[in-house]
Amino acid sequence: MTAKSLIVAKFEFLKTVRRKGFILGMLGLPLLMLFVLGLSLYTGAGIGTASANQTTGFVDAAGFVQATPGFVRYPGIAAGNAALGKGEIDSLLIVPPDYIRTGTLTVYTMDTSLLGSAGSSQSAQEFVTRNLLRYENVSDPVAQKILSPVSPTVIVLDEAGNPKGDQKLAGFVLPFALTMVLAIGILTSSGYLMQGIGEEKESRRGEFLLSHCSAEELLAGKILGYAGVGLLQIVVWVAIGLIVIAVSPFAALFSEIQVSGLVCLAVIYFVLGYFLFSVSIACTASLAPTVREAQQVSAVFSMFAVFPIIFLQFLLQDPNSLLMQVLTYFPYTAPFVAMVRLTLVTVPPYQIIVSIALLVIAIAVLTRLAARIFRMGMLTYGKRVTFREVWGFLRVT
Amino acid sequence: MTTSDPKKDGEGNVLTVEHLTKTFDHRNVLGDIGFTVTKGEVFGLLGPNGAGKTTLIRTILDIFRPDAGTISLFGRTFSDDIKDAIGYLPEEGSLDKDIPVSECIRYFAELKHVDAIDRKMDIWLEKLDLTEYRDKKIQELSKGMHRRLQFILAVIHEPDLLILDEPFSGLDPLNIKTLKDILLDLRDNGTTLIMSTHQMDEVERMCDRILMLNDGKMVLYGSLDEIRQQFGLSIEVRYEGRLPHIDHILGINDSGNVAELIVEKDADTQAMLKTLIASVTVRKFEVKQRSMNEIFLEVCRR
Repeated sequence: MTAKSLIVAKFEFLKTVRRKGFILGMLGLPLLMLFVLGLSLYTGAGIGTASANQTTGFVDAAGFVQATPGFVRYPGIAAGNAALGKGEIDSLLIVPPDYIRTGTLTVYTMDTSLLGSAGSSQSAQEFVTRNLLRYENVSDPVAQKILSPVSPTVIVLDEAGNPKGDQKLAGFVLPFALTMVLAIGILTSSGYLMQGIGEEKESRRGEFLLSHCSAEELLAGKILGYAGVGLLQIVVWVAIGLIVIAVSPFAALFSEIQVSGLVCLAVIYFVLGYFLFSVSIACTASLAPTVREAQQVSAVFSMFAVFPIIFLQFLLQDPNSLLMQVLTYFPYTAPFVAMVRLTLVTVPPYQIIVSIALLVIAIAVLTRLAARIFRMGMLTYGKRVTFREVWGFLRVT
Repeated sequence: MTTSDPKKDGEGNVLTVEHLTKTFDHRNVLGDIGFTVTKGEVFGLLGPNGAGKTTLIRTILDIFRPDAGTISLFGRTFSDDIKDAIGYLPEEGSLDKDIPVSECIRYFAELKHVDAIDRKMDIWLEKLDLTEYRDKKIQELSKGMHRRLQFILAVIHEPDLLILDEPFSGLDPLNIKTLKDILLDLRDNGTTLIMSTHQMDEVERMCDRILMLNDGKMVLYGSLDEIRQQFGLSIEVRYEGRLPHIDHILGINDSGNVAELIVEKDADTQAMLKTLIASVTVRKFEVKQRSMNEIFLEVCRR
């Protein structure tokens, strides 16, 4: 790494992070997710609040339901609907004679909102179930247990039958979430790199830059600069995530999280993955005649990042299958598949070592070729470069 | 082809190119090119489009590596510190439009390890009448301003060798004059200039020596006087009557009352005048060296 590479890196970093689009993306995405999360929490809370304040009428044809505060009996549907029409009740619940066989309930309501419908439905189910349990002489503590959600303690064993180190839910969620964040970070920062190179090529700026520094210095500087951009984005997202977790009811779940070997591996895979994708995308962008074409070709690389999602079913069924092992070794899928596997099972250490070694070799080979392709690609204007020409770049420069 | 080298021993040569060959995809883009550029001269690099000028410049700048031959700059092979001693103004290419002028200058100046950047920036912005655009974004500059900014980026590090590819393209006559004055100032202060251009009048006014390429090969090389002598003389004749046959004429551009006669270099012009007077009324008879434009066209037609 030379001083000129650092100058290029600093320039590219500052230029990108000052862009309105970047700031909007960096802060906007987590804020949007917070908004969605907040909305769902509010909706959930709203259902409870709404149902607590409502009066429900019911018509019991099954013969086991008793009136309680908030629930008023009506002799038939006509009387109930009349009360509903007058606004005396918020909804009317019909328990049919064959309820125990069919489990079917009908709720009449004049509230067309999603919140109101969901509230009516949820409180009706709970009301009828509670009555049924009492009718069958189930004791109150047992009834309460049946109505309350079950929260089991899950103990995951490794292949030797011993419990894995981190038993907390967050121990699984965090690395998986981290993998996803890293994938997004890698793809967005290499996307910025691709756009930067594409714009430079389109504006025929490459020749001028190459008279100031070498292709290697320029490429290294750009990769480093945009790595900084990606890192900043991840740091901001993780920081926002931690703040949200700290003030949320889930804080306890994450309270005992320690930086484990898994997190260290995540960092290693991020760094290696970023360099592999950056070098590949830099070559692609320098060969494409326009930014648009570069984006189309680079979409292939994005596919690798979503491999764990595409193969999720196989991944969950058998994380150590041959397919998953191959994807762990293949450099473009290794950063994502290996990380997800590591969160699910104990991956044999040799597989991780081979996977990282192959990544390093791929980066070394590509970097060697990339500077040549980059230099020639940046100077080939207005036309598509053929494979034969790329081969020529590798041989003659 | 003239092959005069002012200093064959290499001393004082800013650039020495020997037997340079470059091929792309089995196509010979440069074939056995050899020339020198001496310190403080203005050297013209001429040739039609596709002649290999840009490839030659890129090879000199180490953007391309030669297939064969050597390039010596300041008596040494190419290195990073040599790159910092060269300024380059490419013919095309636009700068990053989203950043302010000052930031752009600072970036390129830092890449060339320039010290006291702000002071030098202010001097050059003033010289090229761009001071008021210092903090404006590049997208606000006109095409001519953009070209002047590119020129600042090429010279802010006070290069010993300045390579200019069509330096006057996109500039109005006023800015051409400003830029030309600056270039001559630079030359007077010891900067060596290599200028690739199609504007032959500028070549005649500014260049000491030239190299002309055609189809990747050297076709002309030497001082302007040497080259003009090599291509003979031209005679402008204003006349009335019908032009007679004249010996030792290479070509005639006859417009009816005015004719340009291209004559062999050792031709007896006085004898030609006598022949003309015997046949037509001669109103004007002016013997001139041939213009670079004529020479350029003739060489390109071969």
